[in-house]
Amino acid sequence: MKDTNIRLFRKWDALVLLLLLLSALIIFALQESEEKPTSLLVLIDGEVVEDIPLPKEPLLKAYLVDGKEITVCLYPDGAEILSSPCPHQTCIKSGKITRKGSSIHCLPLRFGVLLDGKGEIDGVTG
Amino acid sequence: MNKKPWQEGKKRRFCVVSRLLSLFALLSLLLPSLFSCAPAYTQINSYGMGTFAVFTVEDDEDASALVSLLAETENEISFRVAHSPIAKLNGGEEVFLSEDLQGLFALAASLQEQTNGRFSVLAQKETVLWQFDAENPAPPSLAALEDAALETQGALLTQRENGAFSLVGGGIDLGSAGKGYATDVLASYLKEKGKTGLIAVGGSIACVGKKTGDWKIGVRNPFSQERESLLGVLSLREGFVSTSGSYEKRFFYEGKEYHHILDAKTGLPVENELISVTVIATSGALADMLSTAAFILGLQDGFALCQAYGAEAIFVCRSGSVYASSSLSSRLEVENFEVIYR
Repeated sequence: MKDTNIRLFRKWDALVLLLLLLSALIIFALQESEEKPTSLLVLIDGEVVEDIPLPKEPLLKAYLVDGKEITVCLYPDGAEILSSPCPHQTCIKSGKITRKGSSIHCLPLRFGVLLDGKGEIDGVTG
Repeated sequence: MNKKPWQEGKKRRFCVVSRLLSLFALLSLLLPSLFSCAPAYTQINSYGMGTFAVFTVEDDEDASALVSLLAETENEISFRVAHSPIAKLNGGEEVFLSEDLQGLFALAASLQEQTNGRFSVLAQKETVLWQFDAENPAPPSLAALEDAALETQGALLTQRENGAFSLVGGGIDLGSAGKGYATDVLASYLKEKGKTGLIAVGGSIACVGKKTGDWKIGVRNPFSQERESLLGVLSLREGFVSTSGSYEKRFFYEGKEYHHILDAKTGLPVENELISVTVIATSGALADMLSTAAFILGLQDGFALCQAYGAEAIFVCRSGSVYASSSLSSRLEVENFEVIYR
């Protein structure tokens, strides 16, 4: 009987293996690297008082802290503090945050907003 | 009946494909587990020492402990806290200081000498004249500043025979050292427990090891008020970082800028080519004080000072020029600025 010399692996087997490995890696990478934040944490005195999903349209939220009002605007991609009674308005000048893990704080009121998740930056100096 | 060769081949390919699919399933399950072998970090936010603190640690329990430690440290070193050791010293009492605080004051004295008195933690008589947090701040009178500066230059913190410390003249204000000192205290807690983590008290940051890779520390762009605008990103696994910048706390009065980094010899805000100095050092107190002292001295002398203390630094000039220690060239990623390494 003729020996057909059957091979265990053909070229397309190697290709399939490579594609499967790549797919696994891509799936893993996609799971790990969602760039955009999905919700905003509101903190008063360091405690999370609200966890708000980022809206599809801009959304204004007002908070009373020690009888003083501070307003936050949420966007599909981030948030900013729009108004605050603090003297220097540093929190307002901080502008809009859009990165995961970014935060803005009104120190006189001990009020802050923080975009959820772990961003690429672990801490900021300055 | 013997199977034909093509049937044998088909069967073997089926086996191969089955094995590959199993491999894929295994990889899908295995890869996330492999990458999550590094400890997950939990993040706790807190307010303390007049600023915002973030603790990125391995355990919730450690985070809670750090929040308490931060409050204790503030009670120890703030002159604004009644009955703190510092408030007592300022009030003329004799006080026994912890070894850590003694070390802090020794380092401060060294920097005072190296800056010819332009940096001082005994300048509280001057700093309280500047009301940066007032609703309508205005510069104090030159006469008042002159008197306060004279008192600072004559101030002396001494240790008595019984080991207690007393202050003669001036007043202690650890604003240029407090946050860095706090990161030292909190970092020691983690190190004693054999834990890794990142501690941020305002802009003073302690990197206490990391199981995989380096911590990524953003350096604020001093030319932008936007929170997310960065000059660059520093990679650091262990070490302490602090920044002093004229943009951090300032006001404008009659068209002139007044910022919070004072020359202790005059009581006036330093005027030189710098807008910010970031220091990376082996202790938080050193990084904090050195960033202020180096800012006061200016680019050339400030750089030399950092080198003398074995620290790395990033100097940003008002002109937009950026100078950094050559040892940072592989660990500092900067966009939109050209860095001159030296």
